[in-house]
Order: sequence, then structure tokens, then C-alpha cells
Amino acid sequence: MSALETLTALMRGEHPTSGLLHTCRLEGCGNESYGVEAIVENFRALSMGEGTDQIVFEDPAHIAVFAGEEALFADVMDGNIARLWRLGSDDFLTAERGISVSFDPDLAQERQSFFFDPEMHPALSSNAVDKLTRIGQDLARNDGAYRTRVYALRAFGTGDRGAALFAVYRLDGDDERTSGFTHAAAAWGASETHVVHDVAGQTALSVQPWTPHIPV
Amino acid sequence: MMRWNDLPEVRSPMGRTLDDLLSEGPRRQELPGYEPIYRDFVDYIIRCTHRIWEQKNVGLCRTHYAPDCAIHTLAGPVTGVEAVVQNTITTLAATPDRLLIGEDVIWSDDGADGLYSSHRIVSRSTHMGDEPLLGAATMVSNGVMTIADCLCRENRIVEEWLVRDNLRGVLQVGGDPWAIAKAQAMADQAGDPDRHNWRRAKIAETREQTDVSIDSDHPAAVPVAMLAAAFLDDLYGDAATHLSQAAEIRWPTNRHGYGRGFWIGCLTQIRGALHDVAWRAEHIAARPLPGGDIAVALRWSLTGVHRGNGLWGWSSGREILIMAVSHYRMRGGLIIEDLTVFDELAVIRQIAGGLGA
Repeated sequence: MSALETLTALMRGEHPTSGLLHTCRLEGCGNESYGVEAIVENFRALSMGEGTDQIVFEDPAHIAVFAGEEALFADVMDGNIARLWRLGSDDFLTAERGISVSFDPDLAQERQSFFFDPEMHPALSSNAVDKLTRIGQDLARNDGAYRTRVYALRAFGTGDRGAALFAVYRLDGDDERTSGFTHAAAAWGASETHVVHDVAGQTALSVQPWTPHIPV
Repeated sequence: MMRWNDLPEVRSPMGRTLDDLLSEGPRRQELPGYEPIYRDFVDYIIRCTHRIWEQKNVGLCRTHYAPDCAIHTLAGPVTGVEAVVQNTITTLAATPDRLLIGEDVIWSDDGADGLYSSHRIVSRSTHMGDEPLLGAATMVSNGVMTIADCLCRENRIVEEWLVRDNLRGVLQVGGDPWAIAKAQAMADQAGDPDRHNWRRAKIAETREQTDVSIDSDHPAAVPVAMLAAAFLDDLYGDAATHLSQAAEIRWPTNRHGYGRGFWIGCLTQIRGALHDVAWRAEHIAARPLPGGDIAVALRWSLTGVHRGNGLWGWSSGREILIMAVSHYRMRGGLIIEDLTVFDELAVIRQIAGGLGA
């Protein structure tokens, strides 16, 4: 199966016959799943993109599928899905408890809204660096949270066509702040950009208690 | 002596299918004294784990561990292959569908000492049976990260350092970590206190701060310098410059985030709880990864006095030991991924007065 066929099977809630590495980790719907069985279970519980036109971006090491208001982004190794992110669904599975980490994203008074090392993304053409930088900065600037910082995790393509995966950190809320990371995926063409946010992740963050200590 | 990037034909398991990993065939590496089925050292680690844990041939431990092997864990040492066999069976009785998903094997040829592997595993299983640590069966499917560092000679593991994210496992099944830690501490306080001498000896070793020797051009020099700048000099900002700006950070108990600031937060959270700290780098290994990245394994220990309130409850005044292994992914001289594992349940067991603390 090609990487696209593997993802398409998953989106239908089916068990792919091949193409999903046993070491694959899925992040999405507010939690993480390891291994083929757990990932298939995740998609069976919450299928996606049925009947929606798909736009696909691919290179040897990545694949991104945008289907309406949802998206999948994957690392690909030798044609197999090695790691997978799912974005857009507003349904979230049970969020896992853990220790919350207090941190300063900026380490400086001069704020930096977008964290991006172009040399860490060899599949991104040099003529796409400025475009990706604008997309990342716009994501942060237009977010509406008290503090939003965007991190470029994956990026590939050219200035005319490409896709990227971001981590989005937000410190938000009124009387009581919430703090944490979600993801966003962006696809761009020559003149337009489409962004899909990890809605379920945002919901999961909003209901999790802040516990910077061993949870009781 | 073998360099870290020699023998490129001995490939990381990263990105390889299970069919590829378990396929049989001719040797790819000289392995004197190893069973003919093992094609190279990575294959030995991946395949013997599969044969013992997933094929349930637990008795193979008797040909794959030295009779007097020493297993170092923060919950105490385990000695001898029969203890390994018993512990494996006990674990499988409670979590029989256990998959040991091998994410990477970062290894080194340590000459006459043997071959050393740092094997990163995500253990995925269903808690079907009552288990000493997880308690009564919950039927929860979970997965935590384990790193097993093994020194091997002629088909046998002669010494092992095992770190598992046990506290995350307890939380996944809805357990109460403090209740478990306090019960363990009460049991530790009964009986012969000398059985905890290993911890005092390990703390003394850590305080000597005699780091493993590292060539300046070895990839591990970067993370060693990073952790030393942080834990020894408290220069967290400088330390973090060794990370890429969007580095992915995974530390125990589901600490997961991105960037230099988050990494600093993981360290200062611990450092804020521990005063008078000492830190030591104990073993390094590095191997090439597909696509030109480099995988680095660093085994380290940290000790300090628990005087800071917060992360681990009220100050206990006890001297605490942490034994950890970090796996890093490096690109262009920077760290793009930090996966660090230590047993935080055993940390709070010490805080509760266990393990001789």
C-alpha cells in the first residue's frame, strides 16, 4: 500500500493491510496511541473526512492530507507511516494525566512568536522559508490567546506548494490560565493558505487540571 | 576501537518494518559467541526481546543473561538470571499481550568489556491481571517508555541498567502513586536496612562526579555539555542553545512539549526540588540514523537533597537519587529530540522514606 492508501484506509476506520509501522505513534483527539491496533481503534472510534475532497501533499519523507476541516500529517520512512498527527476533529478521547511543566517560552523580553530553524527542514526549499515564516507568525498573531507561540515541527515543499506541521503553545484564560501545546497543520499554494487546528487538543487542555506536581 | 559511525550496515530499527526486523539471514556483523540466528547486534537485542517477551520463551533468559547478571534499577538491584525469569513471568501474567515496541537501539563496541546497547521500547499492553505495581486488574490498555541499557558478551547480558516510566504507568491505570510509594517505603523500612546500601554507594559515586571519558568529536559531547551546564553550573539558558528552537521534549510522567523553554522547565522543576545537587555522565553511545540524523544515548545520574516544596510534595530533607537514560536525535549539530526516562515512582518512594532514604 502507498502511504496515501494507508491513510485513506485509516480515515475510513479500516485496518490497513500494510504501510503502518509497528512503531508508529498517533497524536490526535487529545491523546496518544502507540502501535497499529491502538491507532486503528482511534480511527474506528472517530472516523474522518468521509465524502470530503482531499488535497494531498507528499514527498519521500512526509505526507499531509487535508480533507475539509480535518487533516492528517505523517512522517514517512521507506513508504511506511512512521508517525502520525490527526487534526481538526472536535471529538476528543480521554486525555491522559501527567505532570504539568511550568516554563517560559521566550527566554527574553523581546518576544519571538515563531520558532523555526530552516536548516532543520531539509525538505523545505529556500524559496519557501519566508512564506513559512509568515504563516507561523500569522498563526501566533491571529490566535487570540493571551500568549501564543508557534513551533515549526515539520515542513516540506516549495514557495508555490507545500505543507507544514506546527506545535502551538498557548497561555490563555481569564480568571484562571490554561497552558499547553496543541498542533496545527498548514498547506499553501502560490497565493492561498489553508490551516487546520487541533480542536480536540484544545478542548482536552481546557478540561485538564493544571498539576505541576505528582497528580493525586 | 570501533568509531560510533562504523559498520553502517548494522542499521537502526527506526523506520524498518517488523518483517524486515525479524527476517532471518546471514550475519551482517562479527558476533563471536552469539547464536547463529542473530545477524548483528541490533538484531540480537530486537530479536531476543521478541523471543523472550512476545513468543513467551522466557526460559531463553537462561542463555541470554549471565547467571550472576546484575540489573540496576532505581527500585533496587536485581541479581541473577532466575530473578529475571521470575520477574518476566510475573509481568506477563498480568499483561500477557505485552508488545515491546522497539523504537531504537543505540549501541557501542566497548572493546573487551563487550557490546553495549541502549534499547528504547514502548511497552504496550492490557492490564488484565493483578500486578504488584499496578494493582488489581483494570483492563486498561496502556503504554510507557522503557530504556534498557545492556552490556553483552557472547550472547549474554552481563549487566543491565533499566529505567521505566513507572509513574506514568500507574496514572494510566488510575492508580494512586503516593499510596503505592508510601506502601513500598513502609516495606523498605522493615527488615535489613543494609539491603539498601547500594543506593548510598550509588549516591557517593554520583557525588564523585567522575564522568565517562568522551572524545570531543563524539556526538554525545553535545548533550553531556548541555546537561553539565544545566545541572552543574545552573546555566540553563546556555545549556538550551544545544537544542533546536522547536526541539521535541519528552520527559517522564507525560511531560511532553517543545522548545528550549519547555526543556528548561523540565529541568528546573526537578532542580527546584533538589538542593546541593551532583550530576554524572555514566555511559555514551551514538549511531547513525536514516536520513543523516544521529542517535545519541546518554546514561546519567543525579543526586540532591529534597528541600524544595512542590513537585514531589513537601520538603522531606532526604537525599534522593535519580538514575536516567536520555536518547537524543541530532541534526546539524543540534538536538531536535530529547527522550528522557527515569522511574519517578522510585523517586517519590525515596521521598516517602523508602530504599534507605
